[in-house]
Amino acid sequence: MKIEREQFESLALEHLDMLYRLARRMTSDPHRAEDLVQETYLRAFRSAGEFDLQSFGIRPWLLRILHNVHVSRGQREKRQPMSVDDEHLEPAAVVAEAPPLSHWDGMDQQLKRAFESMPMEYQTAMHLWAIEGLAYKDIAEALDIPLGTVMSRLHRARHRLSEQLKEFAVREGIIRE
Amino acid sequence: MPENPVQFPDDPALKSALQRALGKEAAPAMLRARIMQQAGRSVGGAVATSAKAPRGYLFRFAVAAVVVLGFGGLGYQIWQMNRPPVYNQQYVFPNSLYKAMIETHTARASQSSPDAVTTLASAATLGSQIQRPVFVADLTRDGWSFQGAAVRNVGKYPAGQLFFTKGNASISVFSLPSSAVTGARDGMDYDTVFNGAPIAGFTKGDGLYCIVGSSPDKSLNVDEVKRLLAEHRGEIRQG
Repeated sequence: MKIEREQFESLALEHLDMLYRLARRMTSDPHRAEDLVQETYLRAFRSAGEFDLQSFGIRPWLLRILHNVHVSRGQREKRQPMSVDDEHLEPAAVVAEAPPLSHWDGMDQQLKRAFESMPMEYQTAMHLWAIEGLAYKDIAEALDIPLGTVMSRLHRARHRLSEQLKEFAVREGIIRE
Repeated sequence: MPENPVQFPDDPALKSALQRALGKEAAPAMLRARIMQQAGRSVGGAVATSAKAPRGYLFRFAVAAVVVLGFGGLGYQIWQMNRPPVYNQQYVFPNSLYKAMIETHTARASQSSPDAVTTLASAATLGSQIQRPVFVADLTRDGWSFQGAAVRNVGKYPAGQLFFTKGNASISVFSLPSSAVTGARDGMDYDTVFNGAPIAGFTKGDGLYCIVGSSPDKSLNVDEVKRLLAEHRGEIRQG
C-alpha cells in the first residue's frame, strides 16, 4: 500500500529515538551515531516513493537501511586509519581505565559491561529484541538474516551473559559454585 | 561458525534487566531538528523537480518554506537557550547523599559507645566488609583524635566511617561506592557546605571518598576540610 509523503515522514520520524539508540550501540560513538542516523533518513526520504507499507510497518525497513549504511561504511573505513579528535581521546581513555566493579550496586554496570563485551552482531540482535521489543521476524528482516540465525544469535548472547554474570556472582560470593 | 536455529523462549526478567542496565536514550534534539529540516528540504526538492508545478505555486511554496524554517530555527534556538540542563552524563551529586552523610556523621557524634575498630592502624580492615578500599586518612597528624571506625549505612549505601574529634569539632571520613553519584569518573573532586556542614571529597576507582565536618562554633570551615582532603587523599588502603 502506497502512502502520502507527509504520512511517510511522520511515520519515519516516530522511530528516530529507536534508530539513534541502535546507531549508538553499533558505533559506540555519539557523533558517528548521529551521522549514521542522518544518512539513514536521507536515504529513506529519497526512497520514499519506493516504500510500500506492509503489515509490519516502516520500522524494519528503516532498520534495514540503517544496518546497510553501517555495514557499507564499516567496509569503507576498514581500509582507512581511524581518525579521532583530541577531545575524544580523554573520555575514551577514562572509559578504558574504569576499574572492575565489585559490589551489588554495580550489578547493572556489570550487566552492561558483559553486554558490551559481546560481538556486535549479538549485541545488535539482543538490543532489538530486549530494548526495542522487536519480534524475531522483524529482527531478521531488519538485519537481513534468516530467522534461525536471529534465534541462534540471541541464544548465544544469552548464554554468554549468563556465563559472565555467573562468574561475577561467584567471585563476589553472591552465589556458590 | 554455523548458526543453528535453537529454541529461545521469551525471557521477561532478562529483558527488564537489560532495559534497566542499558536504558532508553532519546535522540539529541539537534539531530531531530536536522532530520526534520532534511524532511522539509526533501519535500522542497521533490516539488522543485516537478515540471507540472506552476511557477507561482513554487515561488509561494519556497517563500513559505523559508519563513517556516526561519521561524522554526529561531524557535529552536530560543528553546535551547531556555531549556533546563540535561544531567545524564554529567557528574551529579544528589543532595540526598549529602544529607545522608551528615545524618550518619551526626548520629556518630552523639553516640558514646565504642566503634568496632578502635585503632587507626586496623581501619583498613573495614574494606573486607564494604568490598572496596578504605580512605584511612591519618588526621592525628593534624591534631585530631581518632575515636573509632565502623561500617555504617549512608542512605542505602554501606560505607566505611572513620570518626575524629578536636575540641568540639568532629570529622567523619567516609568510603562510599562511586555509583552513589551519577557520571563519576576517576579523580573528580567536589566540595560544598550543606546544611552548615563543610564537605569535600573525590572519586577514585570504584570509591567515593568524603570528609564531612561539623563544629558548633563554625570554626571548621570548608577550606580547612579541603586542605585536609588534599593532604591525605593518597591514604586509600586496601582491606
